[in-house]
Amino acid sequence: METLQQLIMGFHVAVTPLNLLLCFLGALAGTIIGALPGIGPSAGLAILLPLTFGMNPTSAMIMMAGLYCGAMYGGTITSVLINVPGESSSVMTCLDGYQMALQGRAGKALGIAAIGSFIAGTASVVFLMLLSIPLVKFALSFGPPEYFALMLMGLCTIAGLTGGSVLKALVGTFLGLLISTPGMDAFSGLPRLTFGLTGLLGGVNFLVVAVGLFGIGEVLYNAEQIMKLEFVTEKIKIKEVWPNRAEWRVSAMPIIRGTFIGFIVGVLPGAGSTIASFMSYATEKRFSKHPELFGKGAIEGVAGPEAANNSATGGAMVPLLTLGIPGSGTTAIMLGALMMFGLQPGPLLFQKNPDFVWGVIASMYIGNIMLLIMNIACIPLFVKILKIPNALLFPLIIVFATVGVYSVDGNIFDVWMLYVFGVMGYFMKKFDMPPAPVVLSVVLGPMIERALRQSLAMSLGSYDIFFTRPISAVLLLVGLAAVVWPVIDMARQRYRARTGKA
Amino acid sequence: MKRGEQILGAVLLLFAIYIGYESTMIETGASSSNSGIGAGFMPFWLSVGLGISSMVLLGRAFVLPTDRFSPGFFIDRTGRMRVLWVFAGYLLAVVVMKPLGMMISLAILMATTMPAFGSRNWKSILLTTILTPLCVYLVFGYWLKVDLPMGILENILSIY
Repeated sequence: METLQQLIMGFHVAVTPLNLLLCFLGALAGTIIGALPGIGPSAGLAILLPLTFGMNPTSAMIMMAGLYCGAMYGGTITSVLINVPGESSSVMTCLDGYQMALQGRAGKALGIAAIGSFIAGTASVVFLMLLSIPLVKFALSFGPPEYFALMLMGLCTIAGLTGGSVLKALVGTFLGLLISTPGMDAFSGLPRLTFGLTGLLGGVNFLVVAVGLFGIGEVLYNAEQIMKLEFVTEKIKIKEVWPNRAEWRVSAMPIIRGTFIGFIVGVLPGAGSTIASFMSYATEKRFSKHPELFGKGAIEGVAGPEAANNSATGGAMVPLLTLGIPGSGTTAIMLGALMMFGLQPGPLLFQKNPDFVWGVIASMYIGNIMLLIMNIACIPLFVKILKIPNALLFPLIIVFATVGVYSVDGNIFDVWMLYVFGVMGYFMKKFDMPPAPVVLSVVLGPMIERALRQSLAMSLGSYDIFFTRPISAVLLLVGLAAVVWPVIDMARQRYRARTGKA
Repeated sequence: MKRGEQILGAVLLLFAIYIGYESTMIETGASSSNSGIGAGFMPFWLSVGLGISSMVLLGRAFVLPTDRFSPGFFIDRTGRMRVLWVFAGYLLAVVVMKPLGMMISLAILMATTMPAFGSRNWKSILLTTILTPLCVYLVFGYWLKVDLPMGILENILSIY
């Protein structure tokens, strides 16, 4: 009952004309960003973030949430029409979506993806609501040691689960934490690691790091290999988008399963929507009576993963809003933005700023409805937008990122830093180092240090405080397992492969 | 790419050693005591962590056979030239931003990067090079009142 009352209050906040407009603009921008290959939701959010600085925090967050959800919807369009995923969580959609398009069923693929995304996205907001209240009550008992352990666990899980080399993700985590250290020390007031540069006295702005690594790095990487997009020439009619009864029958369970998989995986730090869509595809192939049809245009191969990657967005908002711990690069940018607005995400946010939290949750319902309508009615329009030449799009992204970063503090030093982080982002991409752990570490770095110093002050310098408190001990163990497990698993696989060959 | 990974490991290791050294120079120190930890504590131990992980990265790059790495750093010569061209054009734009102003800097950015991304139509390059800074000036400078550095155009396009 309490949840329902809060939600009604949230709708009062979300349905103001300004917030509805911002929700629509965020969803529209997100769909376009998600559809453009080479620009993921993290890059899009980072680049567009400076636009929200004149707004109040609730309106800004409503726009960002709309953009985040929209990017998940938009990624499908290029996956189906040109076999190039708009963002990483749409990779699995390429397998069957593109095959459907080649068979003249592009409309059906886009339709089931939009409907599945809507059902899963809406259900995940319901789960977010139901899970948030008990989690917030539990988290209110956390002290600095528990927060330190929780944030450390978040960093460890993102390093362990982010995909690729755990070692490189760990290097990224250490680098990110180091990037967060320059500036005035919050406890002693002394400058540290500023190297005589006055621009570093205020620390490194997380936005510069996020835009540089995700935005500029991505653009520089795209300069090396210019993609030529070739569209399936089929003309999509809106009336063909809606699935028929037989298609509903085969897609219903994959959507439901994808919703649950996506939400659970989304809540876990580091896992995110990409892993959710992979898991959903594998699950559907296993459950299917005709697994041989997967990869040849099976509609359930589109419905399941698309539901999963949208459900993961609601899941990812759970740790962000309730604990103040982002689980992915995109939510790390949202956390950084909230802190720039003067809000401190975490359990107290629900008590101190209920209008903000519930306004954002309510806007996610509205955003999903807008996205469903947009993604069914405006597909031909998005296809036209996708035909913007790279030669115009990528230079404009650099321009927008540069002016956006400059306009935050009016400081040319930030533009220099953006260049440095852009080059760093390019090299990270070349060396297969994921940027998400770096951005997450930059955002969490000051909070981790504060929690560590407060904990050690409480215990008079003894580290036992982290191991004698049960919640903190368990969280540290989970974090350790997240880093060690992939290494053990890899060693085991190598051993098996070696003995298998022998 | 094996050589690239070796260079990466070495650069990161040197960076970690430098930061570790700088951390010990901070006035309140890098050690912990009963009264808490100094300002240098976090950077020092983070540099230790970075140092260890970059040593493993470096060792791995020396020990593993070459076929475990991708063949080259750049895909091809044209790709390398394009990337270097964008790097250079962007750097030039940043360097001239203060003396010449944001508008000219952005025009240089557009003019240098558009050909690198594949545009060969000089008319569209010229048009975009003029229109983009103008739009930025109108939206950010005139409308949003962002104090853009105007450089040599200060007297012509004064916002305030």
